[in-house]
Amino acid sequence: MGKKKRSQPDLEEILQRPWCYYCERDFDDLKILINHQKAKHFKCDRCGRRLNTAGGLSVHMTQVHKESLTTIENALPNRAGLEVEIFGMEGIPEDVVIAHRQRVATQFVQAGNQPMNHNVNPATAGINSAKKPRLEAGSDLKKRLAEHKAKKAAVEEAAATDTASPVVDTPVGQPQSYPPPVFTPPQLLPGFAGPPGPTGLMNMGGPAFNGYAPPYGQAPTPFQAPSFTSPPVPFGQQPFEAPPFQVPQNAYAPPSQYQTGLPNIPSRPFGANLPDALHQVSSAPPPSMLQTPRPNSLPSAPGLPQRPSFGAPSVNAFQLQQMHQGHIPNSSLPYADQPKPTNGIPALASNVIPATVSQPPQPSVQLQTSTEIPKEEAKPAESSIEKRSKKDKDKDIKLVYSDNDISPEEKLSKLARYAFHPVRQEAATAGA
Amino acid sequence: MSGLFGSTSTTLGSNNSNNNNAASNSTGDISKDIALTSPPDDSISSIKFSPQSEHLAVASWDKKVRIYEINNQGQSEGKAFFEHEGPVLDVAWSPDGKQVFGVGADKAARVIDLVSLEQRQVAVHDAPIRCCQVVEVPGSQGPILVTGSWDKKVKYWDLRQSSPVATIDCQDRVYAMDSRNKLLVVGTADRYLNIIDLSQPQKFYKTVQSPLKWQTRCVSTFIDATGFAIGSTEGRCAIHYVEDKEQPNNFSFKCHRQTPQNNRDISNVYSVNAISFHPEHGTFSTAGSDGAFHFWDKDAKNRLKGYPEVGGPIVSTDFNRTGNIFAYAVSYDWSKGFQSNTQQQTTKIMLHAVAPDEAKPRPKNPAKR
Repeated sequence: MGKKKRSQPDLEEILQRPWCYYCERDFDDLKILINHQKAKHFKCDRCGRRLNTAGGLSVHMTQVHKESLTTIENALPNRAGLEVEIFGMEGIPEDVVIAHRQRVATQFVQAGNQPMNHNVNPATAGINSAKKPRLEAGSDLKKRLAEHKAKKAAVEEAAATDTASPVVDTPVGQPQSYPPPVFTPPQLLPGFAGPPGPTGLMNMGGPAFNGYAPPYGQAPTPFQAPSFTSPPVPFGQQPFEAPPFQVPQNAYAPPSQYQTGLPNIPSRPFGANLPDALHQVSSAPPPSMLQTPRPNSLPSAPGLPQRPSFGAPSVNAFQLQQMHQGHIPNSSLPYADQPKPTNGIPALASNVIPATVSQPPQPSVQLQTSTEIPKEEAKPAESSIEKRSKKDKDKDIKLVYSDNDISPEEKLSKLARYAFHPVRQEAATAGA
Repeated sequence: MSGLFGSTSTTLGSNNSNNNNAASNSTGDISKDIALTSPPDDSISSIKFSPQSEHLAVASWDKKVRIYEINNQGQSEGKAFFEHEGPVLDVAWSPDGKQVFGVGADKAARVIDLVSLEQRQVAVHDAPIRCCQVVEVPGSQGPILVTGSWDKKVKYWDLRQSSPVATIDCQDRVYAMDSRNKLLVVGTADRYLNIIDLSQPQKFYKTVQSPLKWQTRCVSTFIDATGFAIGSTEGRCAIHYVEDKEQPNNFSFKCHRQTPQNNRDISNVYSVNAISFHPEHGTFSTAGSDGAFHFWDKDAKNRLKGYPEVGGPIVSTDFNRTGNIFAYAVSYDWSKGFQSNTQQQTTKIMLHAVAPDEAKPRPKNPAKR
């Protein structure tokens, strides 16, 4: 683009992009979106079969596996129900559409009007203040995120991560636009910062994230914003050769993860470059992730609604990512309390920022340190989140001895054959 | 271990083992376990090894307490027994190994002196006595018998008097008790856990609610008496430290759960009937109604060994004084109601020779949970 780096595409463009209801990521193309949904949300976890809709998946589970489906995989906590039948962009309730649009717009405004500055937000500078809401850093984050994404894109392999990365970063301005490797502030789900996503790039793949989340949980996380907002700024340290990583798919994140998960990437229009870039980078990613100064790992996704960006809620960046992935962290509360995304942006931003560690756009050095911290935080969070999600998926428990008030011995002792004769209260009733 | 019961090898997967959520992948071998000769006729309630000699006391629902002598090859021989008027629910040894106490549904505690073989009653409650322990209380001339009963009381008995030395009221019926050194832990209904410092035996040092959400089934103290393990009816075991500053180390884990093959959606959760600590290594075993027992290391937070089902619910376990024999009693524990009390239910006590590596903590990094 011309003077104005195309870090912030026009609002209309962003609004037109198809986005996924379940995980709030936006995509270049409807086809990509559908592919994403099939791969991430409508995939049977027993046999790997990809269905077309939630209803189809439910029927499949019932018929083939004799199990009942209760929730959608890798969906945001408040979007994981089976009530709405979504296919591509169809079936999204009107109010959700409106909310999404508002989010996007707000994010855009936040990101779009700020010059790209590499400097870290003073507020968030160098501190993993995950809990500190840093509203003002939103736009910075976005920029950084975009930069980062671009870098990441370059660095990361295309990694399967969902191409979802769309939009999210758009406000931030695709990496491409920025000349400097400014990392667009992760506008992506601020909340996501939580998910550790090692690569910091939020795996757009979302689901895939879980894997790497941690380390970056804090700082790098910005990428986490899997959801649409912005594919976590690709770490792509490399100059944004790759087109904005909107896709950020967080390719880095465990490259393996993405690789599988990133069907979209290739398809993405700009993905074309990305994949290559990513691939090349992919080898590096994990290490690079750490190294690369993730630009605002904070997902600057302005619109990250749903993203539980609750700044401090028990969910740290890692957890956020996890949540995005569909794992409800222990504190699902954050989600519960989250107000609708619309006003979440500032919160999101703040969350993201803290999580992502207001990293200065500076390169790796900072990134490293920040990522270290998030990583540690992410790990416990991750483990707790994963544990929680595992618990959610636990089977029904059937207690063999279910009487909580009377011990088995008491029951036995009341039986006739065991009853102590002098004190014969209950005669011969069947025990237990 | 060589010598005892021949050599027991820890073969992997000798039987299909129902591994619970344990991370360990080793399955123990129970094929060489030796059954006690002439076990009780009816369900067993408790077994305890003597602290001084190779004797095992077995309390059973057939109203008898039997004492067996175990020799080096694992062969056993009944040596003595004494009768109660009702089912015997728990048994304890005096520290010198000369006296065996039995408590039961006849609301009385009786003692047999193994030297003179005379028996007498030493305690009484208002309701069946569920547990007993012999402790040393500073200031008393000899061992003190502590009894916990379903009448919600814990009483201390000096064996020479017919009235208790002290009585403590508990919140609810006493279900489990264990003691070591100065620590006495009483688990009651309603999931209370009372911790008593025996230097002040008249009052509770601390009362906590069990971290497990279900009925307390058994408690067992660590060998260093800094804490205890709790087993519940919900297939879960918790490790709990006494002191506040060690509370962060508390944790719990699931065990004794199985998924039936035909239905993947439910998991059968069995109660943890017995927990025993190895006297030397500090590792512990859990045994459940599913008929399996496992060895765990609480510091490394992992499972050392799992064993296949033994053919019936395990109601009680104990390590002998050196820790080279692990005895477990198999009998129907009524966890499934009276309908399941069929003729096929076996009643037996098995002696398992503990191989050196079975119960020893593994020298590896503690597994992160």
